[in-house]
Amino acid sequence: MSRLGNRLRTIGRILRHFASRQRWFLVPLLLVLLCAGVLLLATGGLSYVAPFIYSIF
Amino acid sequence: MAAVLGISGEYHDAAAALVVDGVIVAAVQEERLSRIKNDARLPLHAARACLAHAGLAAGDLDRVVFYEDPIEKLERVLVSTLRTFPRALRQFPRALGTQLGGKVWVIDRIAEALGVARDRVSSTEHHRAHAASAFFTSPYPRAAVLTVDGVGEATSTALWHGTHGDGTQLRELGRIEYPHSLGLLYAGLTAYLGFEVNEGEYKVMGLAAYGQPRLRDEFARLIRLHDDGTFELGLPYFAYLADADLGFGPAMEALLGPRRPPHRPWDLEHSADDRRYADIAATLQQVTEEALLGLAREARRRTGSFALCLAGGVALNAVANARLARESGFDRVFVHPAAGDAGGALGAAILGAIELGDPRPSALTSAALGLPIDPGAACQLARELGLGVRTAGDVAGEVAQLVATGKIVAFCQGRFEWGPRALGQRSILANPADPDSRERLNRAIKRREPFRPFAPVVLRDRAATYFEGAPDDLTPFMTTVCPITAAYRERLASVRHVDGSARVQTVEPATAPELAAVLAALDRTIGLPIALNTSFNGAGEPIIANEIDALGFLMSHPIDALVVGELVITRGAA
Amino acid sequence: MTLRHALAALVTPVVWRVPGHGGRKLYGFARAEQASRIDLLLAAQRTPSLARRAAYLRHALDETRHAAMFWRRSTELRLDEQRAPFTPPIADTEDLFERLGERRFLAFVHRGEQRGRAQFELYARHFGKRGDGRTEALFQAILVDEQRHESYTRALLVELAGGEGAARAELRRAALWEAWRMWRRAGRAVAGAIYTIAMMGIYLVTGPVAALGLRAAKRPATWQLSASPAPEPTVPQKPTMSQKLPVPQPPLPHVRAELPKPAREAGR
Repeated sequence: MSRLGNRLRTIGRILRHFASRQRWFLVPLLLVLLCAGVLLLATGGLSYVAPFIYSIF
Repeated sequence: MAAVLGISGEYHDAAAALVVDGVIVAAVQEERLSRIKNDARLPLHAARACLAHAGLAAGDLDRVVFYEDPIEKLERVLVSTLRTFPRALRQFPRALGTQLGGKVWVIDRIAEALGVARDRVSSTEHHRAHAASAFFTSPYPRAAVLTVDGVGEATSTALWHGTHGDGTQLRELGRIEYPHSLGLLYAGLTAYLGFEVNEGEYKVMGLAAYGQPRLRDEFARLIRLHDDGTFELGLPYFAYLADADLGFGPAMEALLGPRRPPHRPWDLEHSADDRRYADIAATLQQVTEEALLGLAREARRRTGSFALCLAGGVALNAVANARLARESGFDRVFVHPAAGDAGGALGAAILGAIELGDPRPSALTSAALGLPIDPGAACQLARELGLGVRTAGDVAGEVAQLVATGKIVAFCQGRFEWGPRALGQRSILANPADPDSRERLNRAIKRREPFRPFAPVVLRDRAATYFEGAPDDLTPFMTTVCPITAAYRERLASVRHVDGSARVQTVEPATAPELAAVLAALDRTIGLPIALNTSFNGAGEPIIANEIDALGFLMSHPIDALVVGELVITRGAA
Repeated sequence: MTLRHALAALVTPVVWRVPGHGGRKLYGFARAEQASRIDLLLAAQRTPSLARRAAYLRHALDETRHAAMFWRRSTELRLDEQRAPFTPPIADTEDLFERLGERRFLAFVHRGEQRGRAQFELYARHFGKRGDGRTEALFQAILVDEQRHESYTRALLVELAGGEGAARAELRRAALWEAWRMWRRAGRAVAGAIYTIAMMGIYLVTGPVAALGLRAAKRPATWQLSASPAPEPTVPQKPTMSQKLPVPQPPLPHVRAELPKPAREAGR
């Protein structure tokens, strides 16, 4: 999918940016964070306040 | 000859702006369309609306420019949370989560959502976008440019020189970096005073006139000003709030006393506490003004220019702008009407256009860059809702008559305004010399804090009679304040702030014909070419955009009439 | 009586008695009303029918009023209990009209109003029994509107779907979509919690090491020039095309008269 391709290229840009600023020691941390970020895929598109729903608890 | 779309968003003030062949075709803030105040999501509705207004499709765009570099921003957020280890522990998950969960991918998301090729979407630098929005919409061929806000990627303040000559240039002369930031200083104290950050700053500015700047010693610990215009925040007093904001920390309360609980009603007459808070606001305002003066003097020293342009959130501080106009040494000062982040969208679009070879836009004479209201649709919907609709023979005369007799009239003409101020396209008008209508307006409709003044709008060629220093380059966009002349101070009490000043807007028939006609008619009826002008929106909602919002407002607020184009709409039969 | 309603009937007496929770629940309802309002305003903008536009607008105004009423009562309860009241309710949106299309949107709204109406009847009875006349009156007043909303949305749905059978089918599909939504919200809550814990762990483990590496450059508070060259081709810092000084141009025209009429304004 071209979306995945775009994302991968952006990851490349991010890593190159950090490397170019002599912040290469942050790169491993970034990779870990990106992996953790996969957990966030579940949250797309949801509002924080649900309309027309009144919680019972 | 290019079509360039500029986009701002993801933090606050999402907006889209379209520049075609060097002409600003449309500029729309997302909140006007989504009806969510300060909507921070990607402004897809605004973007599509701009394109539709111009009759273009996404494929016709040569470039889309986002107003800041998301990767630089990610770097700054990551570095600053790590640098303040371990204090930023609680903020780290959310700060990095929002970055990696969406914000860092914004360029890809824009390309996908709009259907534009990825290689046509790029980003510029946050403060450069601000600087472009200020300089390239100003009437000056050459100027010093000062951009001051909370923080962009990592910069809070920057100095530029805008020139023509060997090409159109915007050259950076220097920058001050996060966390030293006037915007974050003001925001931290806005939160301390119990207001909402990015919303309440101008309330603090209004409150300041009720206090005395007695706390200079305490503020000397919060910020130190240097001779070269730079400044330094006393970092221990501030605290990490979110990925971009600094709030205040416990040290601030130890220094200034306990914070003010939000939403407690204000009582400046009887409460010593509230008077102290007003003193804090006054000190903050004075310190901010001095910092800006220092920056402006440095800008003059480095550029030798006679004109100054300002942008960035801090440039919305009209009281400080007035002081800059008087004391900075510049002959002329201009502030972009959408000086906050929304302006970055327009700046980004202009930068893209210039890079592709288009000329810089002509000077901005009107902020009516949004979508038009449709009187025909308004008429249809009003009839469907059972409201009274009629066409007025002489709209200006009728509005003036209503206003003169103490009525409150909502006035919708043409395209809605770009920026936070209502400038006659989506305004509520009232009699500036009638305290009763002002009282009714505030109590029943706007419901603001008692210390917040209402603002006047006046015909440009008569402005000097009533307002000292008017007109200038700032008054058409309500970005400055002027003292009311002694002769009219009593009469214009409804639009006068406690210190005798007013945030005045000047209007010309060439650029806002409908409102100018109303003011001319008011001159004939009440003897003043002046109206009280407040924005057409209810408490806590964005300014009205289209006829649906306008009619909804009429049905739920006690205004006396709604004017759309030449239609006069009222509750009950016409 | 649905499972949810049965559960609500069970927990209602308990939930409202928890100290401080009543004010919080009413505030939650205020926010839900705000969210509904925004979705309805967007629906009014997007629907092609004038009659439905007026109906959604009226419904949105009702929701605005309800939000204010819930917030006011929430503030009163909070102050009675010596707690700080909540800030004015704000909400975001899921753009349901665009996401679901008008028919499914109506079905969703109808189900929401139906559910809300049943719940508020429960609450009105509960507060009546408890002797809290003000809160009972609040729910009674809102109930009147909810009943109207419930019936008009059903009537519109039948009209739009083209018959009872089709309307019921839409309601079923809306119910499925809602269930999927609930599942996703629950998933988000769980994922969010896991993510936060994981991130805090990462921060604590890598923080000290990273902080050491970064501590080196402590930025002085003085004028800086650009930290580094732009890493990627973005809009170049110095446009290189040479241009003549622009001829003073006439003031920006009021472009509304000059642009081609758009076929369909996306913002409407």
